[in-house]
Amino acid sequence: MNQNQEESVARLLRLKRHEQPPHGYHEKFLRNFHRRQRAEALKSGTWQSLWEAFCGIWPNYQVPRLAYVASVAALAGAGVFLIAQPHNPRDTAQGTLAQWSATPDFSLEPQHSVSAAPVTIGSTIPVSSPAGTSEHYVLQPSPSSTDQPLSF
Amino acid sequence: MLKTWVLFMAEETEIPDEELVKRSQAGEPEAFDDLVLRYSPRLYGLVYHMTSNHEDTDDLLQEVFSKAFRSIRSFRGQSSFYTWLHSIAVNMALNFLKKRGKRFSMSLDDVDSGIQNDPDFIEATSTNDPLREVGLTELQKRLNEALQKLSNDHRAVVTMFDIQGMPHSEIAKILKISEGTVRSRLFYAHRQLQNSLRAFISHR
Repeated sequence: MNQNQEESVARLLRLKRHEQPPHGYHEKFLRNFHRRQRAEALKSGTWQSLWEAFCGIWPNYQVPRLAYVASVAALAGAGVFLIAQPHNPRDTAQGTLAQWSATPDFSLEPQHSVSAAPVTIGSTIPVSSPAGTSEHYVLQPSPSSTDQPLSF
Repeated sequence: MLKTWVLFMAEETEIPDEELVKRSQAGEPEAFDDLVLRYSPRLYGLVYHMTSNHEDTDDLLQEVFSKAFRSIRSFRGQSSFYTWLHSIAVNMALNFLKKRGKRFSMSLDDVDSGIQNDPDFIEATSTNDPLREVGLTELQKRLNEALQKLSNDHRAVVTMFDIQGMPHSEIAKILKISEGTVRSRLFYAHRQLQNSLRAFISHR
C-alpha cells in the first residue's frame, strides 16, 4: 500500500465524522439517563450496590492478570498438598478411632457393679436384683416435686 | 484566529475533569451530569462507529454512563478520567459486538451538511470519479460496510485513530495493549479497508 492509497483510506474514514445523531440528541440523552438512574435505584437493592462497589475496587489496584492466575494456582496447590500429604495416625481423628477400636480400654458388656453411690431424687424404690448384682433404682414416673409441695 | 481564541477561552474556563470527578465522588450528581454532557458526544462517536447502529449506540451509551456512575467512587485517578471512561465504553462495545455476531442491520445517522465544505471531501471528490458519481448516502453505506467487515478489535483501533484522531499512546492505554500492537492492528485494518474500498481510492 503506497502513501497515496494510505492517505486516501484515511481521508475516507475521516468523512465518517460527519455522521451525527439528530439535533438535541445529547440533551435528550441526559434526560433519559436520569430516568434510567431513577428506575435502577428503584429496582436494585443495597446488596447489588455493595457487590458492584466491591467489584469496582480491584481493577484500580492494577494487579497484573497473571497475579490473579498465580494466586488461584497457589491456593489450588496448597489444597492438593493438604489433601495428599501422609497421615500421622496419632494426630488425626481417623488414627484415634483406629487406635481406640484396636485397644479398647472399656468394655461394652453390661456392668453390674456401680462404684458411685446412687443419687436419691425424691423417693426411689429399690428393685430387687438377681444374685451377684448390685441393687439399682428406678425413678418414679411422677416428678418428686409434686410429692412435697412447697410451704411457707 | 478568533475561532481559535474562543476555543482556547472555552478550554480555560472549563472546570477540569478531576474537579468534577471529586464532586461526583462526594455525592454531587450535577457534577456527573456535566461529565455526561462533556463526554457523551465523543463516546457516542466511538460506540456508533463500532456498531454502525444508532439505537444500539444509544442503549450502550446509557449503560456506559450508568456503569461509570456506579463505579465513580472506586475511580482513584491512576489514569485520566477520559481514559477510564473510554476503557469502559470500548470494553462494553466489544462485549456487545461479540454477542451481536455478524447478523445485524445498520441504522445510520444522517451526514451533516458540513461535509460539502470538508477539505477531505473536496479533495476526495476532485481526484476520484467513482466518488463523484455515487451519492453521499451510498458512500456512507459503503464506508460502514467496509468497517463492519473488519474484526471488532481492528474496528475499535480504526475508529479511535482514524475517525476520532486519538494518538497511538492513548489507544494503547484504553485497550491495555502495547503501542506496537496498535500500529500493527492499524496496518492490517488499513490493508483490508483498501481492498474493500478499492473503487473509491486514488490509484495515482
